[in-house]
Amino acid sequence: MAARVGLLDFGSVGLSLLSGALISMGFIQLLAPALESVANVNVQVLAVLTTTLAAPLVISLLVLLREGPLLVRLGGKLARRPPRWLLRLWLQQVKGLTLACMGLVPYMLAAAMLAATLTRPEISSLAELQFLASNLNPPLLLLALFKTGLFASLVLWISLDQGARAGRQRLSGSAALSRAITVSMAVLLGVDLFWVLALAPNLSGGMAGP
Amino acid sequence: MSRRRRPINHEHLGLLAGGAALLALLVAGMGTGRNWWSRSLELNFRTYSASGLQPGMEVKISGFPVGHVQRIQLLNDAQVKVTLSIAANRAAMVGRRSRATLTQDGLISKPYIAISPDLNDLGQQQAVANGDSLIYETSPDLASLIKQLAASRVPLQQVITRAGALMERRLPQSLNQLDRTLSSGEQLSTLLQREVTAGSGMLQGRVSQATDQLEQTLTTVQATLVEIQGLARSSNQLLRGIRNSWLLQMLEPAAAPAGVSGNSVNPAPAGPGSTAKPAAGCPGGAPCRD
Repeated sequence: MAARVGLLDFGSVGLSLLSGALISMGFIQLLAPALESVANVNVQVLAVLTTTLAAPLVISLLVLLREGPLLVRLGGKLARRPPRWLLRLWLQQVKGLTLACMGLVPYMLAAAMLAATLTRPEISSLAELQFLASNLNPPLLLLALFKTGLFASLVLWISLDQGARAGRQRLSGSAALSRAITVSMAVLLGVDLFWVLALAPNLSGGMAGP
Repeated sequence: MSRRRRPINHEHLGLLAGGAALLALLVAGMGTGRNWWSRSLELNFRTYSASGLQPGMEVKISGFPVGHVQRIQLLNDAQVKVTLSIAANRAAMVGRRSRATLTQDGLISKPYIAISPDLNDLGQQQAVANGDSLIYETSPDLASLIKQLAASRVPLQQVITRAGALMERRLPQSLNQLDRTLSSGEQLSTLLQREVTAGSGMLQGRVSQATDQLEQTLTTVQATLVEIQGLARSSNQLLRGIRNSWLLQMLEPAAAPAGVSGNSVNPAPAGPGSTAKPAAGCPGGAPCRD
């Protein structure tokens, strides 16, 4: 029986919280002085939206780094098996991993909002959190969740595939992991770029257009 | 092959539930700002241009967000139908006289639809119903304002030029006149000051002199009054002496018979036993002569 991947634990949630807070705080500290503190709330909204846009990539990268070695080893066990075994393993794992990755998105956004509120407080914290949540775009949130799931499933497939390839070519596990990370990042960035360029801008950027 | 039952991972489930709860909070927050959890009312207006209008734009009453633009449609008659979604509990402020306008706070902020409240019949007018139409007032856009500004530049320049020429011609004269007036005023004030200074000395001398004369006069009057008083006293003594002298009593006429004289004091006939009393102050009881 294959080991189960994609379980949420405090480590992955902590990393998501930390990355969300860091992206938001960094963004605000970068922009707020340039705007001379005249639009702190707008900068906060922008920081949260940027975190929402960046969340799929960041979470996929976190999952790749945390679960990558296990996924590559799982793929390596299928080196002597026909390709349908790889598909079967992917189908076994994809649901849990996708759900776990999508579960990390709210943590990341919550951390981004909290960090935004604490970095440049303007009004009362609760009102500011409510304001930031109300300015979150529903299509953008849905897109972030969908892209996170898509990217997680892609990362899972690429890691298993690279593990199987490394097994067939008798490469070391570290080489397989390295290839898995490189290929995954290239594929994810390519998909993201294709999304922005080819699909409707309102889906890519989450902004409603006429 | 028997499948072993996987043990329940409480940490995973707890964190997943936490993520779901956070997501629910985010959705609740998004919905609050978008009136997802309250009944909404659809109103619409028509315009000839959708310029500046976007779905999702905020709709505000008195600057307070009450809804958003739901959809924008191009109709067959080339008009644009804009459908607004407004919170039902705010619909009482919208009446038949309400106007919708495209507004923007500042130059770089997001534009929004402002609905003017119907204050005439606030709370008692027939409330707008779902699907009712509002009147849309187009607001001048920045380009037309700039065009108007450019058009008004030429007349403004002409006015400024004329005003400049007029000032160039008249201002030196006016300044000279003003200068002369000020000089005259200064001279006049100096003269007045001098006159006042001189006049005040003379007036003071005259007042002092008059006061001295008045004092002398008063002294004289006082002495005269004392003399008059002495004279009156002497005259009084003299008159009293004359009245008591024997010569004057000899010259006194005899008393007239009673009832004859028209100057009788008592016109009634004298009865037996009645005696005529002499008038007071007359010597010897004789009637006094007038």
